[in-house]
Amino acid sequence: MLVQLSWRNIWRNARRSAIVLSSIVVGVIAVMFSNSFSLGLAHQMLQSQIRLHTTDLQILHPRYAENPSLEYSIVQPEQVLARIDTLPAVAAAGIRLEQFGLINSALNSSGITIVGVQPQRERHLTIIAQSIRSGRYLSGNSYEIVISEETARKLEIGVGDKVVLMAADRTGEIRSEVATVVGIFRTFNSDFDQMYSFVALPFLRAMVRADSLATAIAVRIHSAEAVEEVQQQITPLLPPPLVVLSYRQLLPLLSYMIEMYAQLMWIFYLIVGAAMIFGIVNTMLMAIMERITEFGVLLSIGIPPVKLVVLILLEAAWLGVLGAFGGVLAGSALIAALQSTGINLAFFSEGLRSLGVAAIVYPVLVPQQILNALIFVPLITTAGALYPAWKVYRLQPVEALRFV
Amino acid sequence: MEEVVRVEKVTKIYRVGSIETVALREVSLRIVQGEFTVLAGPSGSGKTTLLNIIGTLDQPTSGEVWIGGKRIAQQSAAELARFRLYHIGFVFQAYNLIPVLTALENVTLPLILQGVAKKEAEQRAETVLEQLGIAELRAKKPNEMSGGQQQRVAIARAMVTNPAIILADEPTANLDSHTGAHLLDLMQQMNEEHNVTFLFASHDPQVIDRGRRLISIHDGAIVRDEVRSSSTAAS
Ligand SMILES: Nc1ncnc2c1ncn2[C@@H]1O[C@H](COP(=O)(O)OP(=O)(O)OP(=O)(O)O)[C@@H](O)[C@H]1O
Ligand SMILES: [Mg+2]
Repeated sequence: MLVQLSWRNIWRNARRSAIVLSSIVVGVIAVMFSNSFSLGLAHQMLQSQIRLHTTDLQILHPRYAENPSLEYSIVQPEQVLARIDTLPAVAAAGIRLEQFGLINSALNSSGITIVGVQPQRERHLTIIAQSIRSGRYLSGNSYEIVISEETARKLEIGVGDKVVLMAADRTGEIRSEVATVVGIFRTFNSDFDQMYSFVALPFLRAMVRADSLATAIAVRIHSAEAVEEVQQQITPLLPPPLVVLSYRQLLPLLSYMIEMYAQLMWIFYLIVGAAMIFGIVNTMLMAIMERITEFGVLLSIGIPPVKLVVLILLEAAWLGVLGAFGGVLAGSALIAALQSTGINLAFFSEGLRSLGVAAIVYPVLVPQQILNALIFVPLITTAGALYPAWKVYRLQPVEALRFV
Repeated sequence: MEEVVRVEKVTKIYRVGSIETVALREVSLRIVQGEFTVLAGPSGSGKTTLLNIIGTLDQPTSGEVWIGGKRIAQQSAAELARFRLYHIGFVFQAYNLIPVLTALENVTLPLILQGVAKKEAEQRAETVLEQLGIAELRAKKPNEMSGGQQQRVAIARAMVTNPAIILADEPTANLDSHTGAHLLDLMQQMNEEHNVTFLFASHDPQVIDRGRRLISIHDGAIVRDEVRSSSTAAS
């Protein structure tokens, strides 16, 4: 009976209910959207890093991450690579040798990380080969180098110009080589672009006297969800002390940042929740003020005061349930629509380049979000009705009946 | 005759700030089953106050009240509500009905609150609506009914639980005299046919004329209490 009564009561002032409902709907959409968007952005940031350089998995010497020197490199990486190549889950894998050094033109110089790669393999690992703006990617020949637009600008050089590379070898002696710029790339991450230049693996090996050494074997897999699984498949194939790390382990800062961001979202939830509570308190106070006489009549009939409390709470709960459903439907529709097209942030592209994210973010709809909205919104609105319900509970029948 | 109401030396003093208003002064009164009593008196004489105290909606400052042989003392709001649910019916001047409920639902409401099964409650409500000749209103909401029709539904709701007494505070005040007379006919009929006990508060001469017992109250005190030989039926 109370359920039916409360349901009818919320439609007594349909306009007011519609207003409070639409505010709940907007709140739910806002929360869902920002949640989806931030997840999409986080996903995109991770994906960007993965496609840029990190790849899904990397095989490393366990101490290399904290101390990236040739001392902690992989010996005979070709043998390990041959085993990795046999795994069906692996889409591509390639040997890398990275060494910090200097790149000099006639006019300028810049500190960079020189990455020696196997161009035919590296092509399938990252987007650098597809990001060449002028010239071409590495052919595999020695004395070729691919640099970024940023580096080219800084050194005031272009395709066809020569640069001098300098880097320390295993013994700490400085070695140098001359290379010709064959291509200039530009990615969505300006920091990365400033840092990295690419040469063929044998060329860098010869230069830093690191024959049959590598600093990493990068692995790309077919299905992103299978990272942990493939990681487990690779582990037994590795000679000690090598380890295989997932992108999550390789990008701990980014993972941490994403987590932090999720924490920050709670502040936003709190604000939206507080706004909802205020809206409901206000609405329910208005709704009870115009019905004081009616409560007096109900009390005179002999309704237990507790049932009046339940009635008020039910009314607020209905508003929450309707608002949550409306919001979830509208929010899901919006996110689903944006999921296929993506949200183009090209407008902010330069800002994003320093963040290291591609221009299109695909919001991610998480079922948990829907469940949360359906559970928490009615709880919030019901909580918002506690104070009005308490006022009704304290109502003296005579006063209520005299109230006009 | 079975006693349904006994009021012993009831005094009610309202305090608003430092101002005290004595609404009732040591009022004593006894009502037995089947009586059709009118409490008459000028505005501010204490009629509503007395009715509310008898109806357990308000508590006296001093004195005692028994309903159906049960003493109404310092009970909790919930206990008093439960008592009213089973023993007292109310008809107010206006706004008696719950706007979102139909006539039938309004009449069913007290039975549902008593825990009567929906089917049985509806059956009993239908019976009362028929007794009052308003069965055709069953599906109407209050805003689709006239004032007189609403008051008749209110009487049905007050009657449906077979309370010890129905307290009607100026039930005709918002009606024209013709509709008021019709309503009084109906209550008289219920009184005569079903032995329903009524206590009215009114200064409407039309109502006062109908009372088979007339209690006059003035300045919070009963000044006259007379039983008339036979009703001076109007019209
Ligand atoms: N809640 C209250 N607070 C203060 N004084 C009150 C209150 N209720 C009633 N009174 C006073 O008590 C006295 C009796 O009031 P009551 O309402 O019982 O009179 P009544 O006979 O019903 O009058 P009416 O015919 O106008 O309805 C009046 O003087 C009134 O002002
Ligand atoms: Mg009065």
